[in-house]
Amino acid sequence: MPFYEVSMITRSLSKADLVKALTRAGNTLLDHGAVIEKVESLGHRDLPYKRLAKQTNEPVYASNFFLFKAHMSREARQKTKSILTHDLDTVQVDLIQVDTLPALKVECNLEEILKAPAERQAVSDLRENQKMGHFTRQMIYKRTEKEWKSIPKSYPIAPPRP
Amino acid sequence: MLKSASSLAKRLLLNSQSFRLCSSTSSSPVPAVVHSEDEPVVLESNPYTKEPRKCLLCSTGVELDYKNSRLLQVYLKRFCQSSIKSFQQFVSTFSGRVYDRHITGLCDEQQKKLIEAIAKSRRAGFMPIFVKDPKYARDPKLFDPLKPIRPHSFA
Repeated sequence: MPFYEVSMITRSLSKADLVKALTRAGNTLLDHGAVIEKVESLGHRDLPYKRLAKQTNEPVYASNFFLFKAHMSREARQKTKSILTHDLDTVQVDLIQVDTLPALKVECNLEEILKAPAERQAVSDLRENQKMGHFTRQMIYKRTEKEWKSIPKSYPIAPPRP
Repeated sequence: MLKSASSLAKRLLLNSQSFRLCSSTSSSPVPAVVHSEDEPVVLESNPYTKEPRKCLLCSTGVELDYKNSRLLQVYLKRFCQSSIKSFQQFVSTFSGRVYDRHITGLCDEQQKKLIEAIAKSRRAGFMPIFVKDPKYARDPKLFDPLKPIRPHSFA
């Protein structure tokens, strides 16, 4: 089962209502077969922009941020997302998949980027598989043909017969 | 034809033992290799080569996380005590768009991660979408968008 981080932003609620909303969210996750690893509070923070609470249309400027870390199936993710987003106490809900595999170590290629374009490998690769127009192709053909023809194939003066 | 001639000349110059240029010179015996302490030391690599430059995130080892619109403050306290760098430094104050790699000076991998992290952060409602949060507008500058390292990202 993939690992998801469920970030939930509630509307401004009293403590009792907040507990209710959280338990409701947790229960919906568990009902759909999720395995909750951890529940975190990210604190009471300012929202990046003004949001409106559902139904009441009250403006929300600051509210509580929560994070559930849970394993669940993809179908469960879809269903729980629609349920949690339509919950009247939430302002924003998102389920983001997190890679549990250790990340591959990738070398920093800033040195390569800082090189001049002519010395860069990426540019030379581009130039090798470059698309060529018909006219350019003709010109190159003619030039090589001319070079080939300029090579003498026979002696200008015939060598003396033995 | 010219290429073959040049390669032949090169081969002749490099290992003259294989060809006898003149019939009068007899093939001389190969001198035995003598190792002594007085011989010059041949180094395998140049000891004065500079270390390859690394981008800001690779050199500091900072990992991008979508949850912090201000990026990992605990980490950053180690690097600069007085200031807290933010995620939103990679975003234009005027348009809220992510700066390209010729401005941020990040490597390909980190720039890709940055764009993904910002997209996730916006989707989860941690970061404003059209503007940069005015709270973070006065954060210390990591780079100058008016002085990019290259004229544009494809140059």
